[in-house]
Amino acid sequence: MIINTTINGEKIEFDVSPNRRLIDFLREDLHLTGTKEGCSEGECGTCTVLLDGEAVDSCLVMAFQIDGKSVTTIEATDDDLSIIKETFLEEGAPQCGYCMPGMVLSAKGLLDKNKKPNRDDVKEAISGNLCRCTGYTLIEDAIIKSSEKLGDDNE
Amino acid sequence: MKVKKAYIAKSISECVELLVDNTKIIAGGTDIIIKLNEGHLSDVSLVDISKLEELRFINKEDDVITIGANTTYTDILDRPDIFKGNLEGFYNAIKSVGSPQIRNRGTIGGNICNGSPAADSVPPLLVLDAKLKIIGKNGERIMPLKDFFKGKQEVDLNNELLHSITFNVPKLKLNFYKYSPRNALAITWGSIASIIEVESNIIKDIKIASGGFSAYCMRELEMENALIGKSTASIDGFLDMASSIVMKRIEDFPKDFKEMKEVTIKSAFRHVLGGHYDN
Amino acid sequence: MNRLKTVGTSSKRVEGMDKLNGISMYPQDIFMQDELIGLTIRSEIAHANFKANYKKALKLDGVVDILTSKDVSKNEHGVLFKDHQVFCDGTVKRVGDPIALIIAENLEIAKEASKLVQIDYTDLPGVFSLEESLKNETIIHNETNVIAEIKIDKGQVDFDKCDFVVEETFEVPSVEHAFLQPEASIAYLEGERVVVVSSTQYPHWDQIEIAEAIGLDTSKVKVINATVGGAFGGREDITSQIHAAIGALKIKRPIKIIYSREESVLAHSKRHAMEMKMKMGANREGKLIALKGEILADTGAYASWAPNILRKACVHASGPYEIPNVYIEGKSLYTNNPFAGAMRGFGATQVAVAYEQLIDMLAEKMGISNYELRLRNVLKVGSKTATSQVMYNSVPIEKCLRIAEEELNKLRGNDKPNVLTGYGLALSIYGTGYGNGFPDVSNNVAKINEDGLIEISSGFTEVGQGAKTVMAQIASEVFNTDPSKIVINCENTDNTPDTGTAAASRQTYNTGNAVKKSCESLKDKILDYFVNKFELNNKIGIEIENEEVYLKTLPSKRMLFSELSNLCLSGEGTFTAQTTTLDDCGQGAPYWPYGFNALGVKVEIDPKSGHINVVDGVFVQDVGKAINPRQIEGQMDGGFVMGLGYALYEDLNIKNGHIINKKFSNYILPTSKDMPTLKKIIVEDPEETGPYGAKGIGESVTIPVAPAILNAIFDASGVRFTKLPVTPVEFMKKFGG
Repeated sequence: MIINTTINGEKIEFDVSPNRRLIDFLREDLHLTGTKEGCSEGECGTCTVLLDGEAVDSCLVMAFQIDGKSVTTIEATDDDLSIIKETFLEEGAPQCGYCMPGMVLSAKGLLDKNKKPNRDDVKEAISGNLCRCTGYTLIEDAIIKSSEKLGDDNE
Repeated sequence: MKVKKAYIAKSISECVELLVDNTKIIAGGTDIIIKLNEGHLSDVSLVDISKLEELRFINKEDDVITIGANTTYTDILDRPDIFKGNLEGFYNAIKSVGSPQIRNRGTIGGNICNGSPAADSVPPLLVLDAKLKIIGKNGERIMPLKDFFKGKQEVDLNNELLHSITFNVPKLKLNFYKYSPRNALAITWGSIASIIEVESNIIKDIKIASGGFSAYCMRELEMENALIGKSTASIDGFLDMASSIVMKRIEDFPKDFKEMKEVTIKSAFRHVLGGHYDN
Repeated sequence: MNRLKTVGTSSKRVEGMDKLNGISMYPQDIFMQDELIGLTIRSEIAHANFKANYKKALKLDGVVDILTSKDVSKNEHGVLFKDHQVFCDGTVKRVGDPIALIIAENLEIAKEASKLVQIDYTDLPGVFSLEESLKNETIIHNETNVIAEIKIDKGQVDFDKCDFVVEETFEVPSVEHAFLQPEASIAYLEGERVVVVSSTQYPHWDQIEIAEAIGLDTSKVKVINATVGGAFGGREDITSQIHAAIGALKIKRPIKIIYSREESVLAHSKRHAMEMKMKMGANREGKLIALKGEILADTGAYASWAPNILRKACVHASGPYEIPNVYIEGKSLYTNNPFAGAMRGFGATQVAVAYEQLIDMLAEKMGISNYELRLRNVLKVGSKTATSQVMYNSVPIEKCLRIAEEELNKLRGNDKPNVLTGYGLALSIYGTGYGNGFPDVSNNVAKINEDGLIEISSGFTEVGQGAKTVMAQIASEVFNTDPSKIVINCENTDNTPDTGTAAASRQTYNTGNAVKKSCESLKDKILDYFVNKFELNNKIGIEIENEEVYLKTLPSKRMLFSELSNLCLSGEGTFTAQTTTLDDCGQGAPYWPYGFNALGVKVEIDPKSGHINVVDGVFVQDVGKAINPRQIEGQMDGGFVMGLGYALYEDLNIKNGHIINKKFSNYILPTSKDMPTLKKIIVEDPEETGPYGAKGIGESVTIPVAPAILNAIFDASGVRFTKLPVTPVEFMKKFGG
């Protein structure tokens, strides 16, 4: 099935099999392995990408369903994303790293809509991203700090 | 996973033409993709309706609300202006589904048509006496939601498409409680939705719908009849009665499952019958 | 004494940006031309003889081969005892035992082929309880199901001499590591050598086990540790590595194996379930006098680290308290349940659930506060443990306790209506290192590389705990440079010395010491060379910083590190921990150093439904020296969330050897909305044998959590829970409703 989609800002046309999940398309067809697979049932969020700007589990989207849509993965070049990643690093958020791409994208999804989230908003935004290493707090701190930095940049 | 073919429907009429035996509708995909991946479904063809924007809407005219089947949970949560007040219980039910990622994709139509015994949007819609508009090769039909569920994961759709759900804004508060193991990514062990009308401490009317306590979400008529006309003080004894109704359905299930359902239903009712119970 | 420059700062994680950019490679991210996919066939029965027929599966187009026990040179592996088979050879002892590996062109074909494999099982009697195992009617391995026994016998336990006695039986379940990255390996040939890329806690040990199984010299096997997506003890036993290696060697194409979440849960070890019958007595003055305990551990179908875990449990059963008379008897038993092995805390986590609740129970009986009872009995410098080991240094548990109590009291009050509010305290102790006199050795080589940078080579593992950054900070402290400038080799068995496992909270202390030693040795050699070159009198007044060496009083006398690159200057460092073997009465100095902490929590319980939320808490951690404070805070939160899951949510639901809950949709892990924002306080009381005074805390941080929560639940509701997890349903069953 021919799909026309935008991946990280680049327009592409691709022939996908109806069996392919978005996560397989990204990792195996496009070799964008930053998106991870952790549970295959939408329970862990390691496969989170932004679909038309909204956080989704790419293990629960069929590749043919992104026709006409845009996908943002962790590999995207984006100033806001860079600020978020740099802040995550400064705040000590990453540990084993497996949940990080998903967490960063859920953060971007939140901060694109809510410029001044409080901790509850942040907890809600990453409530679909499991982490076994960090206990979430430093990730939440990083997202709140990111919102402050992004807020400063916009002024 | 084994998908024979996938069709992307460009219009409702095209979709209806495509719906033949061995086809399955995919909208958000958050339920069906798991089934496909785990091999519970195979050799089916998919009809993707996610591009049908005409099915994605929320209309409010006076007190009548109509929600298109392709409306996502997030779409609903983005309209607190419509879904608060007496509909806050419905709003909370939608908010309790999965995670932000699931809510950005999952649709209310999918939630209803999957026929899951623990679908979160259904118990509130049942007490709201919601009606479904269904489109098939023979045209349109309207049916009450409460008659939609035929059995476990079996719904009254015959190669048809759910178009929309309609209900009236209730005159009294819709209460909803979902019992789940944690605060997010919360699977439903059981849920209860209820609208209760009390006058001088007598229960004039009560509507109760359950999720997770039967083969499908349903109106609990036996429980409703047990309470109508009774004083609110009788709610104490009601918990045991409600529990025994559920226990009869799951007689042959293992002990720990029964214990879990007993605790769940009593807890749900304690919450839902709210202020009346505390008094 | 110079002020530390890098050690003690929250340096940025050296591999952090790669992880954030999604370019850190876990084995599943590696794609090789010509690769084949391996899919394991695993037993669906807990205990049975079996016959398998692969004919139909082999005929399927796209299936290249199916490996079985016939393809293994030496069909065994195991961290202590070689009781695992690489592929089961006619008998399976647990659900999930590996029987065969289908090798196919892609995963879909492999899955189709797996449906065509015919396995006929003949059931054998299954042993699923400790009681059944003890009968020894069905033997799982060898001549008895008892794989380990230990006794701690100090003084004379006599409860008649106690004025107050409490006793209780505690049951803690088997739980799952649930690291987010499922296991994966990719193996290929490099000439005659087999290369295995996987995510492991000990690349050099894997190298040995792979080589033995496939019948090659160790030098013919190379193990590369890819990025490790969490471990917590669950990557110590072999899973996919040998399977992949056999395939690569036989078929001469790269073999890639990636586990699904379900297979991951089936394949690796679990935490030991334990039954602990404990009795504790105190005198009127509030001094603990006696402790008696009977500990039974279920190691499942394979031993893994059973004896060591049992030992750690029994040694730590008396908690961070001085108790003069202790008698603990422990047994670890084989069953046909999923096998248990290393998991964060390694036995010390389980016993804390017992001793910290006994303390609260005893205090209640005595009519004194549990804080007071703890205060009167905590270990101090000079105290002796239950093994008569003298705590001679860095024992700040009293300080941790005082701070936790003070901070916990600040949380009291403002109780919400309609919920039951409770406050709970717990302390813990954790002896780090392999222990018991077993050689616990780290090795590091430091050199100046071709780019004029300091390069350290050691086979340690970054599992997410921050080891790379800690080692970089230690090295950068010695050489006065930025941690980002330190080049680290730790992932390839070809160019690193064996430095032991990333386990037992040993890396910061043990490997950190080796890194420090080797860097100091290299620094000495650099200074020697400099003195010689510039004909100086001695080494004083010479500065090393930012990859340069110069004489402070005459900086024109200067050399760049890059000028030294081709001199092959290197420093080697070895560190061996100091422990002794326990005697027959369990007396000795089995671990060093010990880490302590104190945790206070506030819980709110919904009395209508039984839901328990930890809404606030204060965590006080003894670290010796915080090499990287931010990383320690991250570990404290992480340890907390794991203990939270253990206490309230995680339930594998094992029935007759079958794990019912093996997916994330039914094995419940805490989410961000379940986790409170803790106040975290680091206490520094330097460990004199540690690098810059540091000791390891990776496991310590999870131990006091479940006990503190259980104590808070009792405070809130008056109900004492002696079994985990305390789910809402379990709470309501005991509380009523």
